[in-house]
Amino acid sequence: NHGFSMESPRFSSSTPSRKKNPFLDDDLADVQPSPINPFSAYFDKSEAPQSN
Amino acid sequence: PPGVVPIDSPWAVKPEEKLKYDAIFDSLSPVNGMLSGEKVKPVLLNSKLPVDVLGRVWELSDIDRDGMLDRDEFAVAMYLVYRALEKEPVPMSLPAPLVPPSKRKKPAV
Repeated sequence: NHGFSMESPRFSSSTPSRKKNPFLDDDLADVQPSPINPFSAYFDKSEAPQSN
Repeated sequence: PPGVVPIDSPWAVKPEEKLKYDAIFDSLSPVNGMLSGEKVKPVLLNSKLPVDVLGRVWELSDIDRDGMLDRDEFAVAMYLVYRALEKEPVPMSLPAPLVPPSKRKKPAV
């Protein structure tokens, strides 16, 4: 079956990079913050822990 | 010529910072030396920076645009987030000294 041209690339090279940006990707919109927080030192002094 | 950064100029990420960022990188269980956005995003969210700022950080640090961060790219991301927490604006394009030496291209001659 030679009905399909093999010339077109499987993935368009014009795919916007935003597709791969996890911060702009709706699929990852529900990601929860990680328990790994290398920035906690920036908040310890200015923000009380939330007990609720 | 102006605009060309010597390939051996020092990286903006200092060795002691790199050690710290590498430790975080390793704690995120990289696969084949790469971290996916799914793993990086939750950590960067802890910075409490706006998502559009973090999105820009990602754009700048995913230097080869493969949707993953390797050890050096992750260090760039961490560097930018820490600078943002120090109230320094995230640049619109990656400053040449921030390009990891492993990613620098030899100038075309």
